[in-house]
Amino acid sequence: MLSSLIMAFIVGGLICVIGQLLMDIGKLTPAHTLTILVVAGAILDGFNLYEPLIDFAGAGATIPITSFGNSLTHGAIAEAEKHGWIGVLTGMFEVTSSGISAAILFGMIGALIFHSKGQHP
Amino acid sequence: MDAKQYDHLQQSLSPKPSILKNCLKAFLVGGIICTIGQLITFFYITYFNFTEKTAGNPTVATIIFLTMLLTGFGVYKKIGQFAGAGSAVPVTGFGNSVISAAIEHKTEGFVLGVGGNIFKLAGSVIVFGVTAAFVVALVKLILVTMGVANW
Amino acid sequence: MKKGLLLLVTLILVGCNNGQTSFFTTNKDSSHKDQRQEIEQIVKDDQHIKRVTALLTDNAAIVGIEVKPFSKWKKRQYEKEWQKEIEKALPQKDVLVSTDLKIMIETDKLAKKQMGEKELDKKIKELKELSEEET
Repeated sequence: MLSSLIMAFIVGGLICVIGQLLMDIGKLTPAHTLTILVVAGAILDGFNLYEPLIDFAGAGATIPITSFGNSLTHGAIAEAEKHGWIGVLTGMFEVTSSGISAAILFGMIGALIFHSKGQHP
Repeated sequence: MDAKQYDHLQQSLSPKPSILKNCLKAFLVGGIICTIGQLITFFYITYFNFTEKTAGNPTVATIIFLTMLLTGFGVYKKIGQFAGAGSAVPVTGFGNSVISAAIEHKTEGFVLGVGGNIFKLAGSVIVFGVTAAFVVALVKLILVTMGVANW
Repeated sequence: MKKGLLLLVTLILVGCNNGQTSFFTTNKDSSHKDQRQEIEQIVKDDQHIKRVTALLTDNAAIVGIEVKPFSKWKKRQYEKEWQKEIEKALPQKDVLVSTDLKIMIETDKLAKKQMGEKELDKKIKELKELSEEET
C-alpha cells in the first residue's frame, strides 16, 4: 500500500510540474494549460498508454485533469469497438460523468450555502 | 534616463519568478492532492463495493466536495497562489473554477448569473476534451477498419 | 505537528499489514489438492507476482493475484496471460483470474471463512460480476 501512495505522489506531482512548465516557460494561461493536458490524456489513451499509467500510479493518474481526456476517449473507443461509427458519439460520457456532475452539483450547492468574499457586508 | 536604461532598471528590480521553485511547489502540492486521492480510493475499495476500476468515480466526487468546502471558506485561493499548477492541474482546479464562478455570480441570479458563468474555465476543458476524444476515437476506428491497427 | 505526522504514518503502515505473509493462500479444507498444486506451479516462479489467493470449488475457481508495484504497468497484459494459463489447467471450471485489489481483498476474506461448496460458488459468481462492472 505504501508503494501505491508513493507512486501516486510522484506521478501526480510530475503531471503538475508539466503543467507548471507549460505556464512558466510556455507562458500559457491556466485555461490553455488544462486544455492541452486534457487533449494529451485523450491522445495517450489512443495509444493505449494512459490505462497502464493508471494501473501503475493509481490516483496519481486519475486525479489530474488528463484523466478526464482519457476517460472520454476510452468510452468513445469502447463503444466504437462494439457499435461502429455511432459508438464514437454515444460512448463518450458513459464512464465519465462523475467529475462534471459533481462539479456542477457542488457548484450549485456552494452557491446556495456560501457567500462571495468580495462583497461588502 | 532613456527608455533602455529604464527597462534595464525595471528588469533588475522586479522580483524574478524562480521557475525551479514554482515547479517544486507544484510537485509537492500536486503530489499531496493525489496521495490524498489515493487514500480516499483505498477507503472506498475497502469499505464499499468498488473495484480499482470503478473507485475513481466516488474518489473524484469526494475530492470535488472537499474543493467546494475549501473554495467556500476562502482557503482555496491561498493554496492556489502558493501552488500554481499544483492545485490547478488536479481535478481540484476544475472543481474550483466551477464552484467559485457559481458563488461569485450568485448575486446576478441563478439562471443568468450562476448558470451563465459557471463554465468560464471548465468550458474549454470540456469542449476540447470531447473534441479530442472524438478525433482520437475516429482515427482509431478508421485505422482498425483499414486493418492497420488493433483495438 | 511532526509527532502527529509520524504517528499517522506509523498507523497507516501498521494498518496495512494484515498478517498475510504467505505467498500462496487457498481453501482451508483439503478438496481439489492437485488442482491447487497445479495453480501454485504456474504462479510460483513468476517474478511479477507478489502473492496469490486461490479458491476452488467443483464448478468454479477464483484466483486473486497481487502484482509487484513496478510490474503494475503491464498488469492487464499479465492478467490475460494468467487467465489463459489457469483456464488451461482447470478445463472444467469457470475461472476468474483478477489482479484487482478489491477482488483480492474479498477473496482473502472468503479464504478465512469456512463455507460450503454452493455458498462459495455463489460468492465467486458475485465477485465475477463485480469485476466486470464499468462504472
